[in-house]
Amino acid sequence: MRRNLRVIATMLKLRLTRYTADPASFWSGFLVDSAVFGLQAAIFLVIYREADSINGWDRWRTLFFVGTFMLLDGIWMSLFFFGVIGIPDAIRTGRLELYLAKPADPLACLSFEKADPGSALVVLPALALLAASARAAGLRAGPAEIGAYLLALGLMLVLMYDLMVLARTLAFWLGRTGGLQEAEGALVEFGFRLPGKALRGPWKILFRAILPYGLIASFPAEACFGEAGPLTWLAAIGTAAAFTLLTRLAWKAGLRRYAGSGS
Amino acid sequence: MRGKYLAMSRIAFLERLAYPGEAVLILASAGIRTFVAWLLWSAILSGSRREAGGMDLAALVAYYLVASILRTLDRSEGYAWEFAAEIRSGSFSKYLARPVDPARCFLAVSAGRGAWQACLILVLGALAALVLGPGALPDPAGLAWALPILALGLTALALLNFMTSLLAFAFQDITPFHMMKNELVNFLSGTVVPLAMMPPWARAALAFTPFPPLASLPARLWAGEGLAEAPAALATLAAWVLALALASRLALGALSARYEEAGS
Repeated sequence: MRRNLRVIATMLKLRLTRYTADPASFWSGFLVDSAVFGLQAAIFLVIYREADSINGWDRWRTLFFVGTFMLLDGIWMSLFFFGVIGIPDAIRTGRLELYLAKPADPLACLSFEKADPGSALVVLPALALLAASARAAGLRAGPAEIGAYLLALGLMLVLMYDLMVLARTLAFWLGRTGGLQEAEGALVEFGFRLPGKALRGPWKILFRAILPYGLIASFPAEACFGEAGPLTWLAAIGTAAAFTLLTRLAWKAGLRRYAGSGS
Repeated sequence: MRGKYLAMSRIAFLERLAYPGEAVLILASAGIRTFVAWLLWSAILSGSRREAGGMDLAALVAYYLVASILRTLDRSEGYAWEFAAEIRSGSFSKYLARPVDPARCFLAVSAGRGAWQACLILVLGALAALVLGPGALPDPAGLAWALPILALGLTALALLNFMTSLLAFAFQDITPFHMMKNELVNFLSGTVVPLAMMPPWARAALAFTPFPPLASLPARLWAGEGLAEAPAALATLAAWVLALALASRLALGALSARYEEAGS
């Protein structure tokens, strides 16, 4: 574990050094992500021209939900997003062999090798959106709500990492995963285009436990609004734990199947 | 002269046959987007409101379904990643060593892949018509306008994606630019929210862009609406295609000077 952390820290440092030689790429992540989520906020403002609320969430609570997704996005883009999306290519071309030979966990190396420190700056506009929408919604969050929000954010980061890796681990069996990634992209969109409050009945179980993309930004927002009860917490923790286990097992099964270049 | 680009399209089409599951998953992603829209709008319209943007829930779902499926026809978005990777890895040299134009190669491969997706959509449409009856078929007059509008719209988008991939000459990673462009295209084409819900000034401005013909306008034409807007949209699109073709040629000339072969 300590060795893995040391390797990851070194890779982050190397990545940051590389960005000093290419400042345009450093800033582009921040500018583009801010624009993408600004656009998403605009989409909800257009939708709220035709709607009064989404199952009790007014436009400000929904914007808080967008801000939460933006915050999570800033963190995962800066840490593992670009590394994880390269996994199918590493499997297909045989580049994975290089990682299997490294003195650290190959999945960790692959995941964190393309960290994008510039994306971490997305956290700043996300916090501004969160503060502005919380104020407009009249939300009074105390230490308990803020603590619950941070805990839920951490849990959802782990879950998102699992979901991203799991989808790409299928490259061990499918070879090409372009279509699968497009379908996954649509599910990730689900996470920030649809507030969890819109889910009811069986859809709630499907998109909060089986394909838990509906949980990612909604659960931390619900935790902050005081809408997440003990059962909701238990379900979220159970889902994150189950997907962590499933991802690890799928990765190990895939490695057993891996036959090197052209796999 | 044109034969080599037709051959490239044909190869790109046939290459898709090797991965039939991928096309199905791409169509599934359109289904997911429609499903998300249904969940969202059924939650919104479950209260006192029964309509949004002049459409009831059934019309909204039909709009999202047609718009999302038509958006999957664009295969140049995915190909832009591959083209950018060729520039970064040095494989771009193959376009320099052969008597081909990189922009036309890009358009040919995108068209071949898009044609395969169109075949699947036709099969899906035929099945839908068999199950749901003639109500699932498009309005004939609307379809006659929608086809050339879609063809020109997809060409304009492919040229835009080609120019995005050319940014690989100047940047290590085109992902941020490509993602931002994709989000903008989805928003401005009416794939994520019907353009009918936007303020009138925004709709008037969008009529001069190549984006509504990618999803919103064909979806409305499918339902037999917006026929009066079609001729103007077609003329606007033709102008955009010419402008983008010229811009992509200029961009290639300006940026390819930075190319240094392998490890560029």
